[in-house]
Amino acid sequence: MSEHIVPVRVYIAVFLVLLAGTALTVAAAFYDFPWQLNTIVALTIATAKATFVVLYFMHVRYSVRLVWVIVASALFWMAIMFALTFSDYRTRKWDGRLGMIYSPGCSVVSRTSIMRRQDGQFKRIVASDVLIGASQKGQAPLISL
Amino acid sequence: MRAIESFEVPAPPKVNYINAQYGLKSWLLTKDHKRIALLYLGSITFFFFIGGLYAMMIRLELLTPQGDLLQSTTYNKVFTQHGIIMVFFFLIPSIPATLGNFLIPMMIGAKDLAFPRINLLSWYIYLLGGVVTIYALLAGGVDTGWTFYTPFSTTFSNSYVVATGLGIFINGFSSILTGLNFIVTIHTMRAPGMTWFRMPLFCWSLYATSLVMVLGTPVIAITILLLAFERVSRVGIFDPGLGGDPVLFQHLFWFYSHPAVYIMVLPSMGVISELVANFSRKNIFGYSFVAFSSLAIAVFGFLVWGHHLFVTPQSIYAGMIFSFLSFAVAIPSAIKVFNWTATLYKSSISYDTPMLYALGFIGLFTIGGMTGLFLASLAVDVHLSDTYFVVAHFHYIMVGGALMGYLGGLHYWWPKISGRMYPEGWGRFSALVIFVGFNLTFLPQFVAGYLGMPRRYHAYPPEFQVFNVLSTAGASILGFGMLIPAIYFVWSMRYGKHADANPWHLPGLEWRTPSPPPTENFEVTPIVTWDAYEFAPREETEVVGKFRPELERT
Amino acid sequence: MTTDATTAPEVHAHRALQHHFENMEQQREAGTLGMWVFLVTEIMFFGGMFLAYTLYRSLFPASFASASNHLDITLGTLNTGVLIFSSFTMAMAVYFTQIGKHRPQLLCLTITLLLGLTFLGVKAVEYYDKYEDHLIPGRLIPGNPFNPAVQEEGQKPDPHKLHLLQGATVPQVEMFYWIYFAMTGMHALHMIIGAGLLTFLLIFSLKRRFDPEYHSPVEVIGLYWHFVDIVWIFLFPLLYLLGRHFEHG
Repeated sequence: MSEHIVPVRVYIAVFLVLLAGTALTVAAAFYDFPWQLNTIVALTIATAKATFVVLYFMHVRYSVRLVWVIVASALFWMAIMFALTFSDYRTRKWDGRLGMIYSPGCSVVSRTSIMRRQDGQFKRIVASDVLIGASQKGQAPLISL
Repeated sequence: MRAIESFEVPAPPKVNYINAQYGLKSWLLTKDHKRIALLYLGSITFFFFIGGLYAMMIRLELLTPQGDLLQSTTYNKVFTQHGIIMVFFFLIPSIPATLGNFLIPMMIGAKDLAFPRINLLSWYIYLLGGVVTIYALLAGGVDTGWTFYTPFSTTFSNSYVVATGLGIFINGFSSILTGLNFIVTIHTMRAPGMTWFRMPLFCWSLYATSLVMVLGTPVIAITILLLAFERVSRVGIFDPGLGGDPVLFQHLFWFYSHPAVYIMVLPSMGVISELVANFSRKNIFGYSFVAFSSLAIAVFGFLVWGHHLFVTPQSIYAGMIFSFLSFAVAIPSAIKVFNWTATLYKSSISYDTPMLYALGFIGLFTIGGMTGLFLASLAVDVHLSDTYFVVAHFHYIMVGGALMGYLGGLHYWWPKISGRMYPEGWGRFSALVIFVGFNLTFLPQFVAGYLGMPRRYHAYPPEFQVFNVLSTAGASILGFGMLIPAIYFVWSMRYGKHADANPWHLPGLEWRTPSPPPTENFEVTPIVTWDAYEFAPREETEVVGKFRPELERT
Repeated sequence: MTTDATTAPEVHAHRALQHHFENMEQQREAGTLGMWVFLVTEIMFFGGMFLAYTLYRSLFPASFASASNHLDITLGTLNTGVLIFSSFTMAMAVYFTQIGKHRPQLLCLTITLLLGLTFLGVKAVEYYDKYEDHLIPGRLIPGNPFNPAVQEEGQKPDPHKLHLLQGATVPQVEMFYWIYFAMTGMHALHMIIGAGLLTFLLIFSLKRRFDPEYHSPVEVIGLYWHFVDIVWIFLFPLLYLLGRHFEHG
């Protein structure tokens, strides 16, 4: 058989690394890193642990290239889903339009504003706001114009 | 060794996969991929006719501007169920589960797919999903549109959303298992000498389809589950009352449902590659371009789902990205059309029924694809979204494209599947009737949609009536045209002319087994030393042309 | 033109060789590849939920942190350790099957199964705690709607009460718990399926079905088990460790 048998010491080493990683991530969680680093640290440790499981417990380190391609493509597809979806959510505020998700409860779906001459000058006035939301869960949404 | 005439045509054995074993149990518990393909063929045809009945109800209602035949809520249910049945229970499984199951092992020289029992399981899962969905339809139906948009589907619809969703969820596993089977089979079970670039293009396109099935279907599964949970628990992640975003549902839904349309059309393109090369007796032009374009469509197809969200609160910047990518995804499809056309050029075309379907496909798919570009333009889409223009666009691809490929493939491989020929005269006649009926049905819908007729309405302003009448007339012709093959295929199984192993005289590996094939496909595993479309070299002919007079010979 | 490509007739086929494969190597490769493709579908399946989680966490950071802090970090860490250990014993079970040591293989499979059941038991305890604190979202449990008690300022810290950070609201906390139950529930379902598969493996191992030549099911179910472990490796920090650094801040 051309199957590769991983030595026991490798498994034990990976196991200890995983336990250490868990302890590390719990400890790091209580430490207040600046900016968003807490999340980044946590995800880095989690990714490292997952990599060890994939490479050694799941034998990918010793597998044919096709398996590497399969694992990589799964991660790539997840990345596509995240990246393009967040290209929507991260850019919704850019052009001043109001999106759906700024506050819980009622929020403005769309706003129509018009220029009207007032006191000899053109002013931008809100002509209508379409709101959506619910005053209480499970009820019909309030739509006001 | 390359001329077709030197191929050994095996003598028809007495025992083939159909008569190898008798009895219901031998069919219902079969592991033979060919029998499973036939099981699927029967079930898919059944669902096709149910979806067709719903279509008939839609077209009858739309004959008159008033909503007089059906109430609006009933009409909502009718178009919803037409969509669900046609998309999930007909189009998505059609070619992969019937022609793919039957042919892939034969085309690569294997005895069966990699996982025969999983293959059978996928059929049973398909049936289970169908039963649950039919229960939901009979119990009262669902009226949300096949797109299940929130918050209507989660909060306000009074119909059987969860039951239908469950049926679709179950059906998704059938799709996943089929795709999984094809991927593993093509990677590990090709006969000696059958390299990737000697495989028929049908296998390439089914491989690409399987990638889409495997990567996309799980997302719709989780989306439906979340939808069902939200509906049941009455609070959830698509609920604006909690700060949730209904558009998130649309992102998740269309992340699968756009690639799903490539699941529907890629196999059909694979069939067309086969038909175009084989019925023009010429090696396909640009084999590797066609092969790689299948993969490109599969990959690019995952990058464009936001074009279904152009008129939602989706960010306009994301919309621009998606619009650009939607234009890009047209390119591999166009490459295929160019290559098929180049294959046809200066070849010897025989206008058999499968070829008629292939030619129809090329024209109709081109129209469907071009109208997709209209919809991919952001500003134009604001005008055309949710009108009949969209309906006509996707029907041109789904019916004019996918269905034509399916019918063409069925006719082409029918002698191999059944050992009988279908009646050629009736075949050509019905192909033409279908072509005429189809165009009469959907061409007016482009105009109606462009002029502003909204979709999913059962009553409309009277100025659109003329288009709707033409459309319904076309639908009747189309329906009649589709009944004819249903009848003659069944007829041919008993009374059709017996077909030998290679009735079309073609070099493909599947034509080197008897018709119908024995259970194990090949007596001995073939060793492949030839390319996919190696025809005997044509005789040299004189090159005469207006623009090359120096080549004229006396 | 077509010649016989099968192996020499004297080779004795393994009793587990399926009729459509040429040899055990092809069968094993196909089985492993099949499981990997299935795991890809599982990655995409969980991916949808991770997407929803990421979106709402980015929108409601304070509420998510508050809700996360209310989860029991001891039980969560314990569960992580249990699952990692079970992954180790699963890998060892595959190892012992590969070298043909029957007793150690059975032992490792049994320990893996027991650890998996331990995980599920701890999860059940956690879920029950949530039930008691009225943290089950919506009206999933008809008689027990989402209605947590909120920690007031100046009151004695009560572990059953929700401590809301600056900017957190109860509806957004409910969103967190919706996602928490969906994700851990789906994970637990996969654990249950895994436990069932392990039981099958145990039964077949007791019947000595596997040997160094043929042990694909052990390997392939091992891959599944490791995958379920990996999902938890990501779930744990994302759900339990979000806002711990706010607790002292």
